[in-house]
Parts: sequence; structure tokens; C-alpha cells
Amino acid sequence: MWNAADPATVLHQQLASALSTMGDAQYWEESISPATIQQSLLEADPSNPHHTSTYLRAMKWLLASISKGRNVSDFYPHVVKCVGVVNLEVRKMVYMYLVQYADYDTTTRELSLLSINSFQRGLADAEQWIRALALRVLTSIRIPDILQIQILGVQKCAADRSPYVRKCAANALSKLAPRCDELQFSLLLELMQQLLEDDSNTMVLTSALIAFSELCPDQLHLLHKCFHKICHLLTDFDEWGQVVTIDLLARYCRQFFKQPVAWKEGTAERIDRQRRVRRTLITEKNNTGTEQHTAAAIPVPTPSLAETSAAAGVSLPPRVPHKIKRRVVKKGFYSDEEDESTEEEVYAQDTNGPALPISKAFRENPVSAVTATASPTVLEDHEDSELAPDHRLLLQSALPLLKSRNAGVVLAVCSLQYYCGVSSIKVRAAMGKALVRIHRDRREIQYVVLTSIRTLAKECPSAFAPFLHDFLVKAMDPPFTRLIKLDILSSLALEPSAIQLVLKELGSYVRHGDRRFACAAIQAVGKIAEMARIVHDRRDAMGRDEANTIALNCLHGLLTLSQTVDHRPALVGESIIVMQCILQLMRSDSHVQPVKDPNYVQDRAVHRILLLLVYTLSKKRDEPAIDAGSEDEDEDADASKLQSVGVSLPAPAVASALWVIGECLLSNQQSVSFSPIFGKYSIEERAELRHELLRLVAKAFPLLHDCEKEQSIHFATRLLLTESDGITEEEKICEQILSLGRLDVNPDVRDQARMFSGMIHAGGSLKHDLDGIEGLPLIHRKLEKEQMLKMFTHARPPVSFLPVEGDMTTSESGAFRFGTLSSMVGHKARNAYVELPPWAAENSPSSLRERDPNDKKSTTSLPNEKFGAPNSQFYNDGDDSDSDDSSSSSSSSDDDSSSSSSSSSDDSSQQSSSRVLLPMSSGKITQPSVQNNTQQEKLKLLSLNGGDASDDSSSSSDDSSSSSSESSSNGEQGRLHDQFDLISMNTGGQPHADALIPMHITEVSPNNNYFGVANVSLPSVADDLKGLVLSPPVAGPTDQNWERDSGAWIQLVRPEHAGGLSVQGRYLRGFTKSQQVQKLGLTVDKPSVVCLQLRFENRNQGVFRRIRLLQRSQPGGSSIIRPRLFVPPPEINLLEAGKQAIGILGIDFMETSDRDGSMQAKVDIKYGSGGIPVEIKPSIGDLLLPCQRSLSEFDTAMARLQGFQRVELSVQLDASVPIKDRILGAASLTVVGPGSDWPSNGVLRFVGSLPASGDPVYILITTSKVTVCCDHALVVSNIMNIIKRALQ
Amino acid sequence: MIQSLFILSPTGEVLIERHFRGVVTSRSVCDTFWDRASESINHHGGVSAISDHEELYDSVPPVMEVPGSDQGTLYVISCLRDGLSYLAVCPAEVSPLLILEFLHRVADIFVDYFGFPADESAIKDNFSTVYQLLEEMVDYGWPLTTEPNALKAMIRPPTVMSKLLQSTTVVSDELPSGTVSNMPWRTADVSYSQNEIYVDIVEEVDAIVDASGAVISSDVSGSIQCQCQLSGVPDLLLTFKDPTIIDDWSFHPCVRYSRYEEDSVVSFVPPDGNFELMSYRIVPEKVRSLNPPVFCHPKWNYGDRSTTSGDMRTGRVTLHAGVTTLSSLVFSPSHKGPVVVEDFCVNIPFPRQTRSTSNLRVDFGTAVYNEAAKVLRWNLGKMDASKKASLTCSFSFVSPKVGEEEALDPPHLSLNWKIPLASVSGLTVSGLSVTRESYHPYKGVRNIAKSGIFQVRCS
Repeated sequence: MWNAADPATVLHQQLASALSTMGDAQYWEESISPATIQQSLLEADPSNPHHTSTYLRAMKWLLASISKGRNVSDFYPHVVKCVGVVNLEVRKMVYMYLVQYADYDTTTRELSLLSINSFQRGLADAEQWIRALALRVLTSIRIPDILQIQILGVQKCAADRSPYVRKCAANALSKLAPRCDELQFSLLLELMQQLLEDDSNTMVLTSALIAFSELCPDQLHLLHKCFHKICHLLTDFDEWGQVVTIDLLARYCRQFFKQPVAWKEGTAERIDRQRRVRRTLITEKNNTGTEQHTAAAIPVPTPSLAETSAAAGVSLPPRVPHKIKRRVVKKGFYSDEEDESTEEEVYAQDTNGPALPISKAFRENPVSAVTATASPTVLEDHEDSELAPDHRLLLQSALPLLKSRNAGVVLAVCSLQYYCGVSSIKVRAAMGKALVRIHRDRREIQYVVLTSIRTLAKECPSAFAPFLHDFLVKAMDPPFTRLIKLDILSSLALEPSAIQLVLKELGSYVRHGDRRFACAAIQAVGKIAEMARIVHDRRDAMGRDEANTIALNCLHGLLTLSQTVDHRPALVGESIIVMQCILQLMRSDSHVQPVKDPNYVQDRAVHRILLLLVYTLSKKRDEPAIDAGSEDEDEDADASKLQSVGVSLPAPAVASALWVIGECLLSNQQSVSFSPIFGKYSIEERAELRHELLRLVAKAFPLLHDCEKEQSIHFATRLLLTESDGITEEEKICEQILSLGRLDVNPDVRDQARMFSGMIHAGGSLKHDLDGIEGLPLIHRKLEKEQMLKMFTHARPPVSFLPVEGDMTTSESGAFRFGTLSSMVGHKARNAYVELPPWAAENSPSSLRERDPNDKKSTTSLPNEKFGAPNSQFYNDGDDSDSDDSSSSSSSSDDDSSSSSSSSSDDSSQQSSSRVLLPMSSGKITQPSVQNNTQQEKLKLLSLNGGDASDDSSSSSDDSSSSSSESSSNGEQGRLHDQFDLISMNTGGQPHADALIPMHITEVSPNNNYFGVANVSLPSVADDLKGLVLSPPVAGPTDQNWERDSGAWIQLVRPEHAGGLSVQGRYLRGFTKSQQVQKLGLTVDKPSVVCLQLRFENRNQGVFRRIRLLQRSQPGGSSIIRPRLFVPPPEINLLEAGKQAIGILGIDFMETSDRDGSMQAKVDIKYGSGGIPVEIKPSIGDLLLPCQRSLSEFDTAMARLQGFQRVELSVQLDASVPIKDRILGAASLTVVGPGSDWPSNGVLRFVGSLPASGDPVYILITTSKVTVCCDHALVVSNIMNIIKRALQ
Repeated sequence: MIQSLFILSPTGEVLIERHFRGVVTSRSVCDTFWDRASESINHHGGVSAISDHEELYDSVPPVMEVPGSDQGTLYVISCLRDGLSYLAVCPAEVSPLLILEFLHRVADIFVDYFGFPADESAIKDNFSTVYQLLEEMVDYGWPLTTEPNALKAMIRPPTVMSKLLQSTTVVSDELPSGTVSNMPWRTADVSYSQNEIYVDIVEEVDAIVDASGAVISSDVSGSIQCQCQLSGVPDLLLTFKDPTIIDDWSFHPCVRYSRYEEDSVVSFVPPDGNFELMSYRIVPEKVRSLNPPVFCHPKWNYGDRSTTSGDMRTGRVTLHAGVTTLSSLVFSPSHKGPVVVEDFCVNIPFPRQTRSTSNLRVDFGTAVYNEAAKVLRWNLGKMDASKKASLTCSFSFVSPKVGEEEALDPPHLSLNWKIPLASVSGLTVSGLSVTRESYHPYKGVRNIAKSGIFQVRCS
């Protein structure tokens, strides 16, 4: 196609240009006509592979048409013919088309039936993923007629040997469910349950659980039987399944476990409860006592709250006196974050909390945790001890997933821990960390995570306080995250340092270009000023001054802001509103402790408010602003300024301003007021101001906004009451305002005006304008002016931005769980939002979640297990049976009394330990009865731990059922040995293990002359006993036999790879080997059996628990010989620092071979919950079998073997080196002739026979030369290499 | 669960439409979405003004409610990648993060298959592969197969050769192996003649610096990126010299969590190809003492309102940038010579009211003003502490009118830089060992420190 001579660059260019026209993009153009496609589909033949490209083109065109939104259903008859097309890519596209249009109309539905056959063929395909594909498509076609076929297909695939197909079958369940009738549905449920309970492949389980969440999310009791399995496998699930599963389990947890005390009363929760700043509506004695507001809330219109709906002041029920509860600051989770306020001991004022001195509570600093005078209640180690074991299991198996890379999983775990876990410092701190980590993800994910953090930060601020810096708003944050970050920042300002930081940040946010954000930032300033008081009050008595300084700074900042952003009315308005709040806040207790205001910030603020108010009002009636306040010099100066004010306040701000100014102008009365403010004005000046303002208000009244009108009426009323003597002019204006209000269109305004004027009238002060008031009934008792004054002008509690304690929107019951779709949109997203059930009254019995042994049997017999189980066990540490886990959890709970652990383990472990004995004792017993009896006695002794079960086992050993150990699976057997040896070791070392030997010793056959001529074994009891006595399970270093009968140590696990655990191994040979092999229950004389002595050594400071070996599944490679039987040493329960332990590992390979390194066993050495993979690969030297040759035979053979069968190596051997030991260490050889007199004699001869062929290997070593001879040419060089290594 | 998935082009055109649960969602959902989106098209015109993130539109919340379709209320969960909007339409309660993570995963897979960026033309050019991928990735609205290696075993990534073949009449019938291994992240039967693994420890510095150069907040996030070409099923063990530096971490699913908890070693069977092994945050003490290696002092002058004619005003910006000698970075032993910052670049977004710029002068590097995006990009390239750079530029802009609620955005500069062979935390690998396979691969490990979101506030 291309000219090969072209330079490469040209080729590239041409390629690129050619490719640009070659991609799929061409199908987006309108260059191909539908008719062409139709024609080509008609003409092509599906079974002809040469027509594939025609189909490809047609299908791509169709898909592109679908993408473009065009309806191409009229091609259906042509496409449905193509389901059998050979090419898979085309077929997939055909499938997509079919699924899209199968249910389109009656014609397509009928036509679809034609395709079913092809899918059914697909279901029987040899390739797993074609089967899966066929099932997926078949079940996606929504035609009622084929439902039965579909269900059958799912049924068939649910028992498929490939987990991937089974996964798709599980998914198909939820596809079919909506179209099923009751009977069919129950069939699906049954299938689902079968998959849930019997399958242990994580892929399948994940999908089965998703199906569960779609089919029957409420029938949580169906999860009992697989609860343990799910918990153990949770970390191995795929990310998506984890999210769904954790959500299910959270509901399961609530439904079947009772509420743990530490859920509401955990250490973290208690700290947070004292730390977070809340208002309470409950009247109660306040211990900290600096604040006592008993202000009666009067139903006066609250100004300015239209926008600040967050201010919960509105929700206060009228006439209920309330206090602001102030609590004392507590230490945070991270010691370094907080400062010196440790010493204060504070008593929680909560209903159920006993007086609780909380000192430092730390996570990261164990040293200070020790020095802290923590009371026992603070210690968190025990917080989850009261949980039901299964409840704890759930929480603990989910916790590691906080480290997932998938934010969805992390959030799901946080939700589980928050709603179902204990509120310990450890958990909360981990949650905080994880959430802060994932919030750095992409912006969409950030949004969801931040929303959740916002909810949590209000409830448990301590978890997030250390990460305050992470929530600073960045320039590129999108608007939706900016606002949330602001919220989080303001709820975390609970420490003086944090307050400072946040305020500094707010200083830069208030000028932000985004109006909403800037306004929210201004509101946050108000909130912080309020929080600062509480926070400082908690710290010390003198804190109030600091808090006031902060408030004044805030006020000053806002004042400056209102002057500089003068072209942005919304911002100015917002700052006026917040200024009002701060002024009110400072005034609220100024009679107790006056605010030091050396710079007259408050005065300036009020002045500014007045200016803005006047400007706005004058603007409203289109009056030249210069009219306002031209009475005195100051105002003159301001008047010129008024021109440059240039901003009209929005309505809520006007209302706010009106209130503040009203408050100031009435200051000559005895009511609480801003007495220092406006101090520089004389009473007359003030009266002038008041008069002018009143005039402006009255003139503008009809144009005012409702909230402004209400405030004006309030203003006028107060004025009437306070200033009623003599100044008729003012009275008239006030009464006019009232009468205007009485005629207003807005009912609220009207009602307020009518009520106020009615009251004043009753007091007899209304004189001029009585329109609309005549109808009022006469009030018999005249209201005293003083009383009325009190009602109208009494100080109200300041507007508060703080959340209310027990508020429904923040507490659990009233809101959606964080992180759910419903919580994001604020309503129930369809009916799929399932609320967390309330906690169960009692823990459900754990027996519910146990599986019957019978069940188990059926499990293993399923084909699933065979294919699924080995796969699923990848990486999983605790995935063995339930019994295994329960024993491990109990053994890990106590330190060194391991014997008690096995005896205290529950029923299930007893069961398995009783089953341990079965295969052992059921070996062929041909011993005299005496022996048998003693054996049984020993068995009884052994199984004392097992309780009743021992009777069972011994009786069944009498039956001597012929099912020998081979019948049970490898893994099972390994575990059985574990269990057995666990007992034997625990009960104090050697003797008990010996009890096993009689059973195996019978298998020693007489013709087993593997070691020395003299030692031909005799089938006598005495001899057996001799072997019995000689073989302790743990070899002492002085044991000569062991040293003689073993190779050199090989390092299997380097301590630096396994956290200090070193594992070495050496191959056993000769008599010791056969002894050990016997004990392990393997065939003694088979050359394919190898036996390793393992030495575990702890070179670390800590301890290792549960060191054990597990065989890893190995794919059947061509050249690798896998193990047939694998007998690991007993589990080592505890290995303390510096200690060693020894175990024997036996492996029977499928066959033996003369090729070096062809036999391979893959093993995981597990410890605690870690593990390290190891390969056991016996070299040919280790596999050699002993054989005997006389000196002459040796020499003859050596002479015969020449050429390829002989390799020689020149060496220079040092006489001082123990050559013989080295050679024997490296390979299993026998010395021929006198070997002891080296080097004087100058010659060493060795012989051994190959494991597979039995050919002898001869080795001759002189001081200058090494000669290796063997019939097997390949082996010769292998052996030589081994010798070479040994001699170096 | 996802009912339908749409991918929209930067102009709101539907590129890909796929329904998973038998219900066809009307395209009016996309229209509603796009109406909201187009209201807030970023004033930088979709050009990445500040960071590498493309911000086509600004304020469409990722979770959105679309009421009143023929199926009642639907929920659109969306994300924006490479100018394309990925929309997942959900009918009912579902974990929004699950969906968002999935959408991003889909986009990641597209990048993996079609190269970066997976934009409109890439999608159009490979749309049949896109459909096939979606078919494998979703089953009935739930994620099915999402591991790149597993997908590649089923759907072959488009190559030059396959495209060539398709353009002719020959179509390869050869199928990918389609094996499903027991480790979903690793392809079965991988074989390389040259076994190698490269490990990059990349640490990104996010910081907010004020105009005077003081660090307001800083944060370091590290990640370990691997490029792995190893045959068979190797088992790797990565150990750190000082793992206590790491405060919090997350792993690729291939890593054995518990091993790290216990021994602080990363033990894993790697996926084939490129992947992120882990990401981590370093301990706060290290972050707090951070001293950034570069500085940039901006000075904005907006002119005076009274001196202007009409609404137009003239402002001026002056910048001084350079490399500090006192940075707190830790350098690899192999690093020699002075600190050299590479790819040093300053982005200066001008206020949206800007009309034109003039008198642009730099004494180092090059500066280009993007008229449409209103961003000045000052490219300083390689720099060391011996050089100083400055930039001045005048600009004219329309002064915001009173009451318009429009303000001159305080411009925030963003800095990009990269320093090879350096690390913020000093985290180094002490060993990487391969077990289970007998070969000895070539192993390469290096550190890189670079900017994340490095922002200079001017107000």
C-alpha cells in the first residue's frame, strides 16, 4: 500500500492524513444515505466472513444515528437477521441495537423472537465472556413472551463455573424482577439467596448484594447467613459493590443490634458536645453563669430576617424566656492544635452525663495521653468492648476501607461509622482525616464530600478542626463549593487561633466578585463575632474583653466595607444588617460589663447607618438628598458626603437601619439604649434628626417594602410612646404613619398597624388621626404608659446565627443521611431512599448468623466453590471459615495464655477441632488392640478441650470409615492440622503430638530401606515406639540426627520484608525425613515428597501472632509440577521478640522430576493480618535419594561415564575447609568409602540417585578437581553448579 | 443506579446516548441541563485560566434535580471532563459519589483508550468503541467491569493498524483473549522481553500565598505513579526509608492494606501498564514549615476613578518573580548544582471588564496574552536563583457601574512549576523487591516536586 522507499516522516504524514478520514467520525457526517445501508444489509450474508466490513459499516452508521437522536427502528428487520454474524465486534453492535429497539412496537417484538435462538446458543458457548454477553443481552430484551426463557437462562448461568457469568446472572435478577409475577419473583429470590449463601467469589457476591438492594431491600433477615462471609470478604469486593454493601449492612446493623452506649456517649462525642457552639431552648441553670439573658421575646416584627433565615431567632417561640447556653471549650483531638486550657475541668451539663472531667484526649501523642489525668471513662480502648461481637466485626472490617481510593467507599464507611459505630476519638479522627483527604479530589466529588463534611462539622467539629486550612477558599473553587467551604470554616472557628484565621480569610472573601458568596461571607462575620464571645467566655472570665475587641474589629471591618464597595448595594445592605446584629450583641449586656470602645467604632457605625438610611429614603421619594439633615454643621459635612454615598440600600437593610436608628434616637429615655452613642449630640439635635427622619419615612411610606413598613410602624409607635409630650408635629407624623399602615394592602402590615394603634389608643395617646380605629372595642382597663413602653422598647435578645441544639434539621431523625442523593436535593429521591431503622431493643442472637455444618457441606459440593473459592481468597487474610476467625479473635484478645484461648473458643471451633481428629484417626488401623486402646485414650485426652465432641470422634474412629485424608480437600486438611497441632502445642510441647504417630506408623512399609543398611525398619511395635520417642516435634539444636539428616538453611523470608520476621528452611533427608513424613501423614518412600524444617525467628521488638502457612493456588503451568498434598506446620500463636519457633512442612508433589527446579510450591506465610508469598522450589540436590555403592562399583561407573555424561571442574581446594559437610549441606548425597580422612587421602566420593529415573550420580572430589558423572546429561551440569556454589 | 448516560459536546450536542434499564430517557433532560450550564459559561471562555481544570461552565451543581419529565423527577449527576459533560440520569436514591466516581472512571478509561485529551473529536472518532466500552462497563445501570486491564482483555484499544485494516475491507476476526483473571486489575499472561518498572514519587504543593509572599495555607499531596512492564504475576514489595512522614494514604485496590498498617511496606501485585499505586498526605508538621521554592509578588493598580474619561479606566500590573534560595525542599542525592525550577509559568487572569492590554514588557521568558480568555501567560521556563524576572503590563477596562453588583474580581495568579529530583517531604524508597517471578527487572525510582494549585492572592 505504501511505498517502502518513502522517508519515514512522509509516511507518518500520509498515515495521519489517511487516518483522519478513517476514524468513526465519518459516520457523523451526512454523507451516507439510509438507503445504501439498507441495501447493503439486505445483500450481505451473516455467515460469510468476507461481508464483515459491510456489516461493520452499517452498524456503525446505525449507532451514529442513534447518537444523533434519529429513530432508526425501521431497520429492525434487517438487523435482527445479523445476530448470528461471525465477527464479534459487529455482533456486539447488533446486540446494542436490538436492546434499544426490541420493545419499540409490536413488529419489533415479534421479530425479536427470531433472535432468541442465537442467544441460547451463546449461553452454551465455551468462552465465558460470550456466555456472559449472551445472558446480559438476552435478559435486557423486555418482551413478555420470553420471560420464561430468560429465567431459565439465569438459572442456568447462576450455576456456571465461571464467576464472571455468575456475576452477570446475579445482575440479571434485578433486570427481570420488575416484570415477574409473584411466583417467578420468589424463584428469583431463591436464586439470589443461593448465590448469596453459597458463592464465595467476591465478584458474584457483589452483584448478588446489588440485586438484593433492588429486589428486597427491606428483608434484611435474609442476610443473616452470609453476614460473616460478607464482613470477611468486604475488602475484596469491587469498589462499587462496597458502597452498596456498606449501606445495606448499616441498615442491617441498626435492625439487629442494639444501640451501643458509646454511640452517643463516646469520648469524641462528649468532647464535641462541649465544644460545639449551640443555643438551647431549654431553661436551665447555667453553670458557667456569665450569661443570663432572660429577655422576654415580644412579638415585635423582627427586622432584617428575610435574608438571614439561618438566624434562628425567628423560630424562637414567643414569650418563652430562653438562655444562651455557654459551655466550656474542651481540648481537641490533636494536642498540638490547642493551647494551654487543659487544666479546666468542666462538668457536662447534660441530662444523662455524669460529671465528666475531660482532660487531654489524644490520639497521636501517646506520651501525653499517659500523663493526662484521664478518668477511666475517657479511656477509649474499651469503647467498643460492649458491642456485640458481630457488630464489632462489621465495624472493624469496614474501617480499613477508609483508605480506599474511591471517595464513594470512603464516604460510605464514614456513614456507617457515624450512624452505627461508636463515637470514639480514634474512629472520629480517622473519619475526619479520610474525608479531608478525599475532598481534594475532582470538583464534582469535592462538592459531595464537602456537603457531607458540612453536616459533620456541625456535629463533630473536633474531627475537622485540625484541617481548618484545607477549607480555605481558593480562587478556582466553583461557586457551589465556595459557599459550603464558608459554612465549614465558620462552624470550625472554635478556638481563638481559628477565629483569627477565619476572620482574616473572611476579610478577603467579603470583596469577592460573586455577590452571593460575598454576602454569605459578611453574614459569617456576624456569626464569628457571636461565636467569639462564647468561645472566649468559656476560656476565662476576662475573655469578654477580647471577644468585644473582636466584635469591634468586625464592626470596623464591615463599616469600611460599606464605604468601599459603594457600587454594590447588596453588599452594603448585607453589611448593614450584620452591623446591626453586632451592635445589638454588644449592647445586650453592656449594662453588666460595658464595652470598651476607645475608637468610637460603634458611633461611627451608627453614623454610617444613618447616612445610608437617609440617602435611601430620600432617593425613594425622588427628593434631593440635600434636604436631609441640613440642620447642624456635622450634618452639613455629611450632606455633601451624601452625594458620594451613592448607594440605595435594599429593603431588609433599610428595615435594619431603621431599627438601629430608632433605638439610638430614643436614647434619652430610661430604656436600654446606645447611651454612649450619639453622646456628642445634644437632645435638641437629636430631636431635629428624629423629626427629619420621621418626615422622610412618612413621605416614602407608600413606596416602602413590607418589612420596611413594619419597621416604620414600630418606629412610629415607639416615638409616640416616648416623645409624646408636646411636640405635636411629630405626633401627627407618627399617627399618619400608623394610619397609613392601617390601610395598607399587606395584611401583615395592616394587622400590625391596627394592633399597635389600638394599644396606643387604649393608652389614650392617639389624638389626631383616628381613621379606621373607631371600630375598636373600648378597653376597660387603661394601659399604663410605662407598661407599654416596656413592651415596645425593651431590649430584645440579639439575633443569633448559631444553630439551635436539638434542631431537627441537624439532628439525625429529621435529616437525610449525609452523602445520600436525598440529602443533596433535600427531599426523598423516589422511594428508594430507605431510612435507617431505629436501633434494635436487643442484640439479635449470634446463632442467627452461624451456618449449619450441613449447609457447609452442600456448599463445598457445588461447582462454584471449586472455581470461585481459590480466586476469592486472593489477598484475603481472614477468609477461612467462621470458626477460624472466632478462634483468632479470641486468641488475639488475650496475650500469652494461648491455651485458654483455644479452650475458650466457641462452639464452632470445637466442632472443627472434633472434625480434625476424624481423618487422622480413620487411617488404616491394623495395630493390636492394646495400642488402639491407648490411642483412643490419648485421643480423649487431646479432645478434652472439645468437650462432648470427643465422644463423637472416638466413636467414629472405631468405625474406621475408609475415607482417608486424601478425600478431604487440601485446604481443609491443612486447616485441620492447624487446629490439631494448635491443641497439641498449647497443651505443653511435645508429648501430645506423639499421640498421632501410632496412626501413621502403620503405614511404614518394610521394604523401606532408605537409611543405612543396618536400619532396615522392622514392623514391630517396639521399633515404632523407638521412632516415636526419637522424634520431638520441635528439634532441639543438639539433636545430632537432625543436623546430619538435613541440608543447609535457606532464607525463605527476609526479616526486612516481613517486618522483622525471618523464616528459614532446610530440607530433611534420610531417617529424620521419613519420621517427620510419617507424622504428617504423607507416604514415606515417595520421592515426590519433600519435607522442610522451618525456623521462624522474630527479630523485631513486637510480637507476631498467628504465624501460619497457606498454600496458594497455582495455575497449571506446562513445566511446573504442583504440589498434590500440602501439610503446613501448626499455626504459631505467638512469637515474642527474639524468640524462635520451629515447624515441619511436608509437600507431596504431583510427580517428581530430574529437572532442576521444576517442582514448585507457592506458599503464603501469614502472620497477624500480613503475609508474604514464598516459593518452595527444591533443587535437584535436595531431591536426590540415598543409594549405596561400593568403592569398586563407584570407580567402574566413573570410568564408564564420559563425554556429555561427565563434567569436570578445576578447583583449588583449601584443606582446612570442611568440604564434606559443605557438599552434604548442599545436596542429599551419600559418602562412598572412607570419607573421614579428608584431606590426607585426597579423594572424596559421593553418590546419590535421581528422584525420577533413579539413575545414580557420582561425584569425585580431589584437591584440584571436581568430577560429576551421571547418565543424565542435563543433571550433570546442574549438580556441578550446586557443588560449585557449595565450595565457594 | 444509572438509568441513562449522555455525553454532551462543549456546545451541548448529544454525542453519546445510552439507556441501561429499558427506559428511554427523553433528551429534554439534557436540554434542561444545558440551559442551566449555558447560563454560567465561564468568562474565560472555557480556556483553563487558572489551573489545568477546564472550566467550561461554572455553577451547575454536580447533583441536579430535573422535575417534570414524563417519568417524574429525575436526578442528573454530572461531571465535566475535557470539555465534555458526562451526564448520568438516575431515577431514584443512589450514592451520588458512586455515580460521580464512576463517571470519572469512564472518562479515565476513554483517556486510556483514545489518549489525552478524550475530547469531542476523540469520542466522535471512536464512538463505536465508546459504545462497546459502555456496554461492558455498565450492566443494568450498575458498574460492571471498570479495571482498564480487564477491559482491554475484552475490547481492543483502537490502534493505527486496526483503523487501517478497517478502512480496507479486511476486518480482523482475531479476538482479544477475554480472560477474566482472579485479579481484575491485572491481565493474565503478560509477557515482556524487557522487564522494567518505573516509580515516580510526585508531590504536589497546593498553596495560597498573599501578595507579600507569606504563606496563608499550604498542603502537600503526594502520589506514587508506576509504569509497570513485568511478565507473569510478580509480587512487589516497596519499602520507604521513613514511612512516618506519611500521615494519611489511600491505595490502588491491588495493595494489601493490612501489610501497610502493620509494617508500613507496600505489598502488591501490580496492574499492567501505568497506574497510581498510592496517594498520600504528609504529616502536618512538614507542611507547616513549607517554604515555597518560587515567589511572585504582584502589584495591581487600577488607576483612579476621577482621572478617567467616561467609563474606561487604565490599570497597570507589575510582577516580580523568581526562585528562592531558602526553599525547604529535600533533594535526591543524585541532584547536583543549584536549584533549577522547570516549566515555571505564571498565569495572570485579568478582570472580565478588561478591554485591551498594552505595553507588555518582560525581562525574562515570554508572555502571551490570550484575548479571548483574558489571561496573560508568562512563561519563564527554566530558572534558578541567580535570575530575577519582572513583568509590567497596562490594561484598560470598563469601570463597573454603581448598582451593577459587578466587581472587579481580585485577580488571583496561579503559578506552575516543577523541580525534578526534589521532594517536599523527603520521602524516599528504600527498596523495591520482586518475588514470585525469577527475573530481575530494571527498576527506576525518582522524586518530583511540582505545583498543584499554587495561588497568589493579590488582595
